[in-house]
Amino acid sequence: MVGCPFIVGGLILLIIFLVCLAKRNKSHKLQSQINALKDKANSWEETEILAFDPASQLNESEFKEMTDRLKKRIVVPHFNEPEKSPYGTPATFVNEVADHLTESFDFSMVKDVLGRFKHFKTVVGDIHLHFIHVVGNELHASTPIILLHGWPSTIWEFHQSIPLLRHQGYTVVAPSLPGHGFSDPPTVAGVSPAVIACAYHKLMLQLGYKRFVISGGDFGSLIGNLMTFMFPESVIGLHNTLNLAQMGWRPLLQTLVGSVLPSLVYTTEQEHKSVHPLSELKDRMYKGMAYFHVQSVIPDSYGYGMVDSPVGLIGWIGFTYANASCSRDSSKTPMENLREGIRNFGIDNICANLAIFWATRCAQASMRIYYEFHANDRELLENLSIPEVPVAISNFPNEIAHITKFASAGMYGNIKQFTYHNHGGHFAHEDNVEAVVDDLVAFIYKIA
Amino acid sequence: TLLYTIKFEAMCWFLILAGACLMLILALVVSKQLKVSNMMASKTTKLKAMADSWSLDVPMVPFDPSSRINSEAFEDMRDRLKRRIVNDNMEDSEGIPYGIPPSFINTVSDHLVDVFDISYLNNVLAQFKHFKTVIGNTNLHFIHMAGNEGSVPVLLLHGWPGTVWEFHKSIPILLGQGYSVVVPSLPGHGFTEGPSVTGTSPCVMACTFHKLMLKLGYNKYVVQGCDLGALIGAVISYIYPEHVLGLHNTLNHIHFGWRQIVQLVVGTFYPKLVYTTPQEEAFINPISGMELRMYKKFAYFHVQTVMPDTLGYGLVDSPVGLISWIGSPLVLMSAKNNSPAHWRQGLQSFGIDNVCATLVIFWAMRNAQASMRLHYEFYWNDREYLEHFTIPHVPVAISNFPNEIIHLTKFTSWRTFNNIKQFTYHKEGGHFPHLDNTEGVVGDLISFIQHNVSSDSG
Repeated sequence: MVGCPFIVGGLILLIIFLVCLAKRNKSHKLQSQINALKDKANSWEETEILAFDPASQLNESEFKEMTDRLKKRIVVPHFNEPEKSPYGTPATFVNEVADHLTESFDFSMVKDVLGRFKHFKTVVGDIHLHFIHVVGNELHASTPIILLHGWPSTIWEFHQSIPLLRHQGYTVVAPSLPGHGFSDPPTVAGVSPAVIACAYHKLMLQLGYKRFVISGGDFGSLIGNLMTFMFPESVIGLHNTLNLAQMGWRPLLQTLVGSVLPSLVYTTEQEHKSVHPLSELKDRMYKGMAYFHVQSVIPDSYGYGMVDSPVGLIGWIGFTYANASCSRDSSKTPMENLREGIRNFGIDNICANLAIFWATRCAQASMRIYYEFHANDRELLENLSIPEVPVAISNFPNEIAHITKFASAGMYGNIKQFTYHNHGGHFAHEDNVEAVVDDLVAFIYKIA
Repeated sequence: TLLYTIKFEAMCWFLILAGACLMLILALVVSKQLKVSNMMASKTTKLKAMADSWSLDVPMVPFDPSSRINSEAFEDMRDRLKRRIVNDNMEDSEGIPYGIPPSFINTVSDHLVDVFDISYLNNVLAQFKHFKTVIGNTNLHFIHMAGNEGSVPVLLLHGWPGTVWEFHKSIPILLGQGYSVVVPSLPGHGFTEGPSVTGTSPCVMACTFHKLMLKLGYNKYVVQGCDLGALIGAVISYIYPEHVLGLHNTLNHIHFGWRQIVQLVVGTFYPKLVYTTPQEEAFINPISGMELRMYKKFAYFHVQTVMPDTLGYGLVDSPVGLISWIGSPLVLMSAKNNSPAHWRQGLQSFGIDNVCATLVIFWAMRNAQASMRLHYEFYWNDREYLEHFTIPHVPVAISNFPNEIIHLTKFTSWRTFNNIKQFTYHKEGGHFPHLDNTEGVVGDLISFIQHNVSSDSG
């Protein structure tokens, strides 16, 4: 009886000891993973950088193939109210986008717009990289910017941002994510976000930029985080539109306090609703992670139908552009939400991205990044910390994740800028380009 | 003595506290059980009332499958396949970790374009009598072959992604034994269109098929089910036990409970004591890898319970999408370890003509997208109900095949089925034994009927 407290105390100490041991083993394992990545990157030889014309891959014949297939499409809802379908993309959406592609969309516009920039291709290790390179003026020579898009975006995402930055004299490098658009997919497995981070870093060094600013969204945010984590000496500042900082004790404390006093803890309604009510959290996570689950296990099986069929492509990739750009208000019908998304993202932007995906046949390969992330980089992300490099986060209302500044401090030790906007979603460069570019420029001004 | 008194008092308080905690836990458990029983009873009542409200007077109209499996549909499929776009960019094309390799897509495509003949498909189906009728919201297709007077009627239920084709070898064998056979197409599968309203979940299908049997004059019958058909058969046995003479399953249903925990713990140290086959053991052990194995196994299930239509567009518009998403489960669920590395063996076991027949039916009927909605309906409507049901009295037979996707021991099966009369293991066959071990599964069914089912077919 008397010994009880000693036994309990002893057990607690043992548990703490075991946890510390596990953590130390983990950080040791992580460090060796990072070292292995860096060694691999160091072994990559410099290859030639060749000028590239996107028009060479954007053939009229490819676009005609797409519209021909759309004109003969088979879309059969088997359902009496397609606009209200709870089962996923409504047939109404697919038909509206298909009709725009076949009747209104001007494909040559894609080539014209992209033709305003200088494009290049090179190979870094196993990774084929396409990128746009804009050389700015002397004033901003010390702060070159690398713009990173994610899935399922293409270089089209930056067709408005690059001119805005160029006009202000900035140097910009914008690569296409491997497996997306003009960056051919790797021919070997294992090209995970951490490997891509090393490749992007190597590219910047090869272009002569020893230190640079990173601005990214979606997988671009993840890769930007990894670049900063592995090569902090190279990163002047990190600007994210997708916040991935959800670790440690802060989110738990925030959830507990936020259950009772939400206004104390959450700045926006979106931040509050992304966690509460807790009773619905499990279902919301289940619904939200379905795409992640299938893409991290069998991306190719999923993707065959998107490479062979523009209907399959619109059904998933096209839907994603609109869905991630709307408020996803459960009091509205699915089609009402998607119409809002189409308006925000822009029907021509949707079609331009789809045309690039179709012409380069990259839909299937694009999803492999989820497999590679899940197989290789999860632990890296869980243990990522950026204590010193200045960080800026731009928060947009229709984004898919909303994390408070308080919670973000668990990953970022030096948050220099944390802005909120009234308009915009997951693809802020498409639906609120002024805000995201202004934020980036303001951030650079603060840290230069 | 002072110390003794303090100790004694402390012990009393400790016991009182422990007792109070125990009472609280007990009260919580009992109230949860009551809640569950109430939920089960009320849902069962609702389902029965809904089923009773359906008119059984809609006539059964003869149906000719070849009216839909016609050359127009098949030539369109072949034409699209001739112009297919299939990427094959990986150095190790056969060994990709990302899903089914392009060689599978191309093998099946070539067979459909160059070899497969729909007259074979239509001739086989024409051996049987097909009908259509309306029950509830379902415009139902079914095969009905009447057997000997007074013999046991058998209801055969396929699952996802199945069609009545799955039973084309088994039906003649059962007819040869004199049984009456009824084989419906599940909503959204085969010749049953997808329902035009939401809510057609496995429980609703269970009621639909029971009412079909009543409509055909079969008051009592045996049910044989595979995949979701096994689950639907179990639900029929739960809701209408007085009508089910026997339930024969090939896919065992997972019900989590204390049995799993005991088996897990004992099986880690003494696997031989607990597992009869290597597949049963490999399903659980090693426990450290279980989370990842389940994550990989149920990826398709997760996406189909959330957004079946989204992924379904590519299956209706593209035969390549169809071959990938519908064709690869047929083959992988018949393959050793259900692994893409053995897809060729899976294809051989299932049979390439059987794959093509299934795909042609899905293509011509354009319902591959609608077929996946039943996973959605299962998850959001029936999940809780199906977690708690048990079959206390209906005699049950379970047939275990080595390449099946789920392997449960007889010990854990007792959680759901309290009257297991037959529990057999086979050396060959997978998720679709009616195609890759017809003698095994039909032999089990006939043996089950002859030894454990009274032929009182009412």
